Amino acid sequence: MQSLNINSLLKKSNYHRPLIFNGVLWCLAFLVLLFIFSKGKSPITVDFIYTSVFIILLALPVSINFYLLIPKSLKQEKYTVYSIYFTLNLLVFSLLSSWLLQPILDILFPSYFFISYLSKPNILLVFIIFLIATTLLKLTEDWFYFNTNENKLLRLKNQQIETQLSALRAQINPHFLFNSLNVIYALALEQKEGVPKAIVQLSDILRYVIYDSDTERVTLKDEITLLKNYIAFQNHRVDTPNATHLDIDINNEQFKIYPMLLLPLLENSYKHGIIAGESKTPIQIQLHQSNTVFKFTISNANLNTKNKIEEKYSGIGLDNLRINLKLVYPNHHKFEVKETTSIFKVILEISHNA
Amino acid sequence: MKTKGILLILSVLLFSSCIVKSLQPFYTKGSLSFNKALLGNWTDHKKGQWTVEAISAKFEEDKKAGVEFSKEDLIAHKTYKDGYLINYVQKEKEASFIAMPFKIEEQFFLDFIPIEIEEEEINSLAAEHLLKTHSVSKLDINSNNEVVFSWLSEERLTDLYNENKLRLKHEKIGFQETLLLTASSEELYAFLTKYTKANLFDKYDKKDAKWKSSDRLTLTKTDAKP
Repeated sequence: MQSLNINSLLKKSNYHRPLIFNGVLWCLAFLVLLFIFSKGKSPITVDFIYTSVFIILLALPVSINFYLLIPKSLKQEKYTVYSIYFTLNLLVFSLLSSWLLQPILDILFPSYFFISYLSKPNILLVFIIFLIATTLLKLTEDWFYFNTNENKLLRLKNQQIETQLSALRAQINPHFLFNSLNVIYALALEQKEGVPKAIVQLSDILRYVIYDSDTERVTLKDEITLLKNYIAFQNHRVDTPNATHLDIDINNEQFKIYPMLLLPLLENSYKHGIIAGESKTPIQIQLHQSNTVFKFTISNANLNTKNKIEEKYSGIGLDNLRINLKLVYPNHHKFEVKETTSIFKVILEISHNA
Repeated sequence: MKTKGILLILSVLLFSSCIVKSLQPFYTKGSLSFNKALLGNWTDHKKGQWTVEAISAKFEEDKKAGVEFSKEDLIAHKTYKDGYLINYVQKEKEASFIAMPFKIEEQFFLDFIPIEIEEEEINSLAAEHLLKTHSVSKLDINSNNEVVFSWLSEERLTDLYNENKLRLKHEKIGFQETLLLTASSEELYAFLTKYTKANLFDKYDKKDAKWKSSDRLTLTKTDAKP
């Protein structure tokens, strides 16, 4: 299955809105400075002019900080370099502004008197306060977008897992049906009496697989019933007495596991461990559950019974199972396959906490 | 009739020419510039008598005469050593001022602060309410025998305030809402610097534009050597 490219999806929506951010920021800055410069009284023309020119001078170091220093050094974790450039940026522009602000105003507005405003040391102070405050504001804005993207990423990942699981289940059903129809086909060819019974058993199995297993968790009781139905169904085909030994040691039948984990293993044992009418070694199944741990062990004779058609599809069940376990029980499962020349054994252990 | 009389007096007070008053001096330390040309006795065109002496010379005289100075006197001398002691008599009413000369580029100014006012005609309680404030006058030395004092007019400053063209700390005080500048000396000096250069008040006659003729006194030297 091809996984979704989450990063490319996020990249499309991962853009800041500099117009809105700067619009809000500088409108607020204008209002705050206007209030300060008009000394809390009603602002007059001269206050509006002074504030506007001051804002323009202030915007230069703040923009350099936003679009050059923060992305090139602070976000690259070059903290010392950032501190040096930040201080330089602050000093150069605050000193330039303290020297140039009054001459600029006097040249542009010769009949206006901008007198009781900021002294040179206070211009430096306002620059320090504004640069620090706007840096924090910018970092907050970045954090806001980072947080939004993180949440979006999590949602997309969950969605991806759901899609993947759904796709895996969809793969199990036709695979199982294909095998089962082969069994009934074989029974019908041999004109055995048990065909109607086998069809009813298959119907029960399919009901479970299609409807009952379509939840996040099922009880062990339901899974055991499914196994028993499947064994009964397969025994029509193999026609071998005592083909399967089922050993159940369960403390709690309501212990919940992810559905359809065990069936592919049993299916695999029947496919590769039993030859109709010939097998001497039965399939050994052990189900053990106590407290928080469930252990499923299954072994069968290693008969190497693959043919060309089966080779193409063999392994789908086991591979799907491995992927499913990684998705639904990450770090809370063990899956071991032991194969010798005579025995093929699989051990699956699941922790309840998962 | 009585009410009408009060209103008439008030209107006269409100619309009569006023000079700008300030809590702080109009000069900065670095701008002080003493000019000997102002020393001597003068008569203005309204027949007021002016006597201008250098504070430092006066201090030396007193020192030679054996006057003992208190610590406050010495501090005052240090502050005003570059200034003038001015005695002004008009219609037999006398007042003394300290006037500090300072320059903005090539233009001389005088910062006036009263030190003595004849209080005989003022109710003592009313006198307690009076605050000695600074005023500023442009000083034009036309010749050795003629100087012109042009005080900064409250009316002109009020025009600037009303046109929203001036941000300079001030308060309106008292019943008559007298303009009182509360800005620092640095701010006052900066204002005067730009005010001196700016082209303002085109709506007024040129001689009345920035420096009102009604706030102007032309002084002629009375002890001029022929």
